[in-house]
Amino acid sequence: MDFTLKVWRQEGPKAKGRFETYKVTNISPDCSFLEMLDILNESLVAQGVEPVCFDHDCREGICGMCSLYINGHPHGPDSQVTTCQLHMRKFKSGETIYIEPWRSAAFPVIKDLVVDRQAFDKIIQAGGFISATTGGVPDGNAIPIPKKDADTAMDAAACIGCGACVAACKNASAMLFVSAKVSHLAHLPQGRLEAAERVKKMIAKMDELGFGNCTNTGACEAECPKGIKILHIAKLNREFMKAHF
Amino acid sequence: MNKLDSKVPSGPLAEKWTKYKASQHLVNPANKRKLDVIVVGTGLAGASAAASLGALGFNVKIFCISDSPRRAHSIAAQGGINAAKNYQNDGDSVYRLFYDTIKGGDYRAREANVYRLAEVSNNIIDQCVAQGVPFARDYAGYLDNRSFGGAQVSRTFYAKGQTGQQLLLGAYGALSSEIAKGSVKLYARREMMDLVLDKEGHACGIICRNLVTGEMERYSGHAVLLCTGGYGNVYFLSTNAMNSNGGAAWKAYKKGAFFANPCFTQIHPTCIPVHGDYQSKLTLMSESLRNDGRIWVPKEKSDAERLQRGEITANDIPEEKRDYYLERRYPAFGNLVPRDVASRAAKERCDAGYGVNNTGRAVFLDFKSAIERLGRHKIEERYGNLFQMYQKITDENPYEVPMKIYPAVHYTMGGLWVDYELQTTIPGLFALGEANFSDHGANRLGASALMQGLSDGYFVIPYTLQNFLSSHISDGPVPTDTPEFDEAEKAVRGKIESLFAINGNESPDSIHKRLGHIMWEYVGMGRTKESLEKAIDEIKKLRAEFWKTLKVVGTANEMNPELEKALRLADFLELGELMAKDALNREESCGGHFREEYQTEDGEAKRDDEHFMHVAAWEYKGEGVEPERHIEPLEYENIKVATRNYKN
Amino acid sequence: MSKFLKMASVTQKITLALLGLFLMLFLLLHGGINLCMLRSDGGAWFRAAAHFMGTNYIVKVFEVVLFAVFVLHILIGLVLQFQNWRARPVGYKVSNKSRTQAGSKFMIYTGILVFIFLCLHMVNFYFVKLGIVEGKYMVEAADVQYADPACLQQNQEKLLALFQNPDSTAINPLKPVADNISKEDLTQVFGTGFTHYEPDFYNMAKELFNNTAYLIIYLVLLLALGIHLIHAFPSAFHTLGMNGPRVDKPVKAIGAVYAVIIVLMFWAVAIGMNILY
Repeated sequence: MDFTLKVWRQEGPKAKGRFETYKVTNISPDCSFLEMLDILNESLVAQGVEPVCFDHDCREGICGMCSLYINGHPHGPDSQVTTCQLHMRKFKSGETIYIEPWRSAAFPVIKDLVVDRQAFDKIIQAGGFISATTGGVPDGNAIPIPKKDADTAMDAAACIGCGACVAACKNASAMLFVSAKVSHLAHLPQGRLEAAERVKKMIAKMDELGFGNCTNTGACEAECPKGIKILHIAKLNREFMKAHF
Repeated sequence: MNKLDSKVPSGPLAEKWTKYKASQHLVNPANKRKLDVIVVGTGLAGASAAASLGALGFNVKIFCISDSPRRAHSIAAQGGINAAKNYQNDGDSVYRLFYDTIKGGDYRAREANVYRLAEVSNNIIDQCVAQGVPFARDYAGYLDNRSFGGAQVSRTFYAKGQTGQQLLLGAYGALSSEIAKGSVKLYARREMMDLVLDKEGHACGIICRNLVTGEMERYSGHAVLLCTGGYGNVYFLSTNAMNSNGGAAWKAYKKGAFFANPCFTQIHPTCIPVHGDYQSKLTLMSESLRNDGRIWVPKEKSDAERLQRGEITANDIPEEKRDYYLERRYPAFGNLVPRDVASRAAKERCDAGYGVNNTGRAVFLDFKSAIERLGRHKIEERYGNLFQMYQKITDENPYEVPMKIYPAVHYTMGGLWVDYELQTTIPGLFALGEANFSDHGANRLGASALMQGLSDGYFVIPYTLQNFLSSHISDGPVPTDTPEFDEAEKAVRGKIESLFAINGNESPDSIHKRLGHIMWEYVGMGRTKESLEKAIDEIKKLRAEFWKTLKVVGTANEMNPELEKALRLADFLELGELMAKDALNREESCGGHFREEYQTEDGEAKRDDEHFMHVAAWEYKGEGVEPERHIEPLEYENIKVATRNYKN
Repeated sequence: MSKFLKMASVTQKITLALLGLFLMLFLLLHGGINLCMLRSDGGAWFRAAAHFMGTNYIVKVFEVVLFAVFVLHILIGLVLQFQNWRARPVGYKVSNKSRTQAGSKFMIYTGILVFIFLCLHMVNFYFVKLGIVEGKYMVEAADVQYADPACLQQNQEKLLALFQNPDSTAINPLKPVADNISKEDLTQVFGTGFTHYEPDFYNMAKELFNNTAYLIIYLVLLLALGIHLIHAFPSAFHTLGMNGPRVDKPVKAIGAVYAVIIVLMFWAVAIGMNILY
């Protein structure tokens, strides 16, 4: 398969970026998108050109490191996958593919397609945890948890923190990310004690970091590689109201 | 004098850890504030250690190669975590977990460490539940278990197929709460370039490269904890993440820390087979799949050949023409034999010509009977995300056609030699998790890596580090403007300059692929004296070539992944040789280390307990000088050493 | 407002949603009254309803609340929107193709269209009531007594013409209410000090709906309202946390039905008036 790539190149955080056009040829349909970029980079290195910087790590869809906005979709056109699990068979040979970094005030570009997502860490640091100091906790089976709640908590906890929700949202809102953590912990008895403080602090931090507001468009849900539902946002809203009354 | 003092406390096995804790030195809260601890790596071991030490009151600095601690590769562990809870009332106990781990490791692990691991395994589950890890539960609301390879009890706790992720996020949460409190300071997108030793030879700091700006940074501490994972990426293709590397451990080795059992590599039996030379990464399919999946190849070679040519599919082969070779060879454990056994059996079948895909290097993992028995819904609930992942990668639906799997490099049991306190041979330098060698012997059982990482971080290092730091309470802050730091930084800068100066024409990846090929072919699943000698020779040649033909584009003062790769590859090119050397010296087969010369008549590993029941720890002696092999003899007082038997 | 801006984004959104739900109730009421126009009673029911809405004191208080709600809804909507625009200073080259809820991506634009409609509507109707804009008026026969006798005297013929019943077969040749009176005639016939008249919304509406250009603008802007509503309804419930796996689909369905009903109600009146009267 052959492709024309339009890749966002930006030398540094303050540099002015631009699209560069590259051609890749003879790509196997079984090749993953990032492997296709590896092939591109090998050819760029051979020409002495700086290869395209992009974030990636586990390449099995779980670390949340890869982050490309491909032809109008975070993580590309396939559903429920990260970019590393996107395969070229999802494209038509000869297609032009636009590759852009996540765009959000809270995720500034570091270089080329690499963005800084530390804002997510800061939101978690604001309260996305249960304070359980090591040791001195009861037996794991001391508090039974209804299977339904445990399963719902797990569904929310599946978030990989990749930021596709922010990238997809027309408002660059981080609500799906925040709600996933709030909902995960709110569904567990262990998380109830800090639930009110947690939701207030996380929302405050999210606002402070310059993410937009949720307008319930559902783009986040459509692009989330882990299929996290926006119903968790409704749960967050409930938790938020509960926290105030 | 033996340089390797394991510092195992005396007394009965079951009381060693209790005794240690009761008699160790502690640091009082006021003094803890004065002590700096450097933690490199934010995986299960690093994050849990930093969180626990921060909560105790130490000043912790934690370093992360990715943009966030949550990306560490512990996140990719799928199946589960073992603990001796015996919630299933199926006969499990601390001793049995200890026994299974020692046996699974083919009697090459240190008894006291493993027993401690089994002992604290239960605390880990409690801790994780308290942190909100959403473990799977039954309808009564109690924790659920599944079984894993190498065990006859169900002791594996799991969170769907994402246990590692959930445990890491639990530790990440604990770490985040400490970061918020200010007790831990996080440095993201930093890679450790070198370890710094003070005048007395104690670890006192690290040199880091800021991966965003390319700047060199110095950090000092009273102790340095390496939680940097394993070195499986030496094979280029492995299930490790792209950023996983052996650099930190290798730097420590070159500064004097002994490297133990480097040849012990785990080849995981259930990975998606290699499909092209552009491939960058192998994907693991969780071992938990072997609970319900049955592994087979055709009984007749002609069927295998037709499969290889793509003329027929698995479903065309009738039941009676299928060879469920694991069930045939190992009736007692069946498809749940330990990883090394399952991997070798797959290799044996494929070598004999029974491979089932176009490369002839794959076997089937079939869920047909499980789906018939339990229903598709149940299978979906248990493995849904793994099946989805498989389908996304291969474009085949595993509910309808069997998965194709093949072994791939997954984990390295070898690592920095540590004593009972997890301290390396460099005072003040500790190694935790996969980065050390301690608990898994020659083969790690499934769901034990998570257990070890968290055990080291949550429940071991908070005690043993205090024992070390108690003698440093009056040291005062550790300066970074010393000649030792100057020299270390200069050396790193020099190395980077020399890499740019080569200015050849080969990219780091292309050389790395060649190294990977050498390692897989000659230091892979089946090793011989000849293959290992050839490997050593070839690696030496490749290393020389690397320093002549490498091309690193870009500059050092910016984000430059090519430079990162080149630096890591330079270490791998040395480490690979040590692995081969270690494998060559270990003239026996045990666990993941299979020397073809040493096998029984029916192809099982043949240990040589008389000569090799020891840990081999290598000491760096300088550039171009042969490293020295030290021995820590292993004594089994509480376990009867036997030939591993998974047949009956 | 500055205090409001410091509130959590979720608080702002919850406020927006509550205000929106209030407006949705109002729309139902308004639509219901409009439907009276379609009755072939020469606007009698509609006039009665309009009269009630224009004179009842409780409704008058309600009117102030309604205005406040409108203003707040618009202001908060704008504030949130500006925050949203600021959250993505550099946009994408390829615009987003993610699957989204119907109408959800255009709330600000449909909102602006609705606002334009509101302005038009105010100018056409509400400003007439306030006396800012000239419209058509009506006077009850019983109120003629409050008029300036001199003017009445002078324009007796016109006065009669105003109250003349066009339906000649009727026993009483005079109507109880004179409608469709222009401002000029009103002051001429009843004098400048006369206040006992009301705007004749029925005839003004009839006239406007019979103007094809206006009708089309009206229909289009109402469609924008419908698109606004189709997302507004489920979104408000979602923001208020009133959503879950079991109610998600019903809420969306009810929202869609509600939006369609509102649009059809207003459309029916507009088209009906054009065709029937």
